[in-house]
Amino acid sequence: MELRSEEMPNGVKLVTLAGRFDIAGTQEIDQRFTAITATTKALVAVDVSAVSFLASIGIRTLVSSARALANRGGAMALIGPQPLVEQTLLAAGIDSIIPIYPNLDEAGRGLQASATAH
Amino acid sequence: MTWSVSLRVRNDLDELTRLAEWLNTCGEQHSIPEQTVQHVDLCAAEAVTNIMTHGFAEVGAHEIAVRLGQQGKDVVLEIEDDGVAFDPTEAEPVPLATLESTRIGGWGMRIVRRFSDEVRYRRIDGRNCLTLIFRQPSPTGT
Repeated sequence: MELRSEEMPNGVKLVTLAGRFDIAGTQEIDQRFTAITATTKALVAVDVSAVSFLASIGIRTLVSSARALANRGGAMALIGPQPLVEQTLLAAGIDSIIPIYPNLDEAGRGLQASATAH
Repeated sequence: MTWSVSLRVRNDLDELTRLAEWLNTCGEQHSIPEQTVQHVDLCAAEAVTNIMTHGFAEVGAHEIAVRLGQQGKDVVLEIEDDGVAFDPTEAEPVPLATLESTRIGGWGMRIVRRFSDEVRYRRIDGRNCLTLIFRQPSPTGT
């Protein structure tokens, strides 16, 4: 699984994931993902549009990091899941705890609104 | 079943990659629709991960038997293990919660129920036998 990270001009940290978010994928990126997302007060948008498969072990990484981020005053959002991944997120109820947006612009607005609200 | 193929995996999470590759290859070889293969792949990952993580009371080598086949129009996934008795059809679904209060984990059976059409469990001769059915639509016009 691949992970890329960049700072956007609006202050949102964009993390882009690609590949299978299964046990192997999680092992490949878990430490880096956690280090990037969960150790600062930050607004983090996770682009999952190139994630082809998401198992609950991958959901665990997302939720753990989102919670750690929230505890530091930050927030996480997911961007553009493929249909199978979106259905998996909905089945697990993740959409009610990590917002899902269709694109980076909307994710950025949503994250900044949540930051303003706190 | 019309046809079936079998695989045995060790109770080692590293085996999940081999399981996924096998399921996808079998799906292609037997012309199973791509979406069904994706659903089988995901359900197998969840069910087998659950067995490997929680199913064995003691440390030691165990094997989990996975069988993929076709029964009528339906695709059938059977998973057998010799772990502790566990009926996933009776497991209480993890309640949905907030980010702060949600339990980390417990999503596997929600995912299995979402992506399979029927879940059956039996305990036979000290083995858990889980059967997942993936119904296939009838061709239009028939």
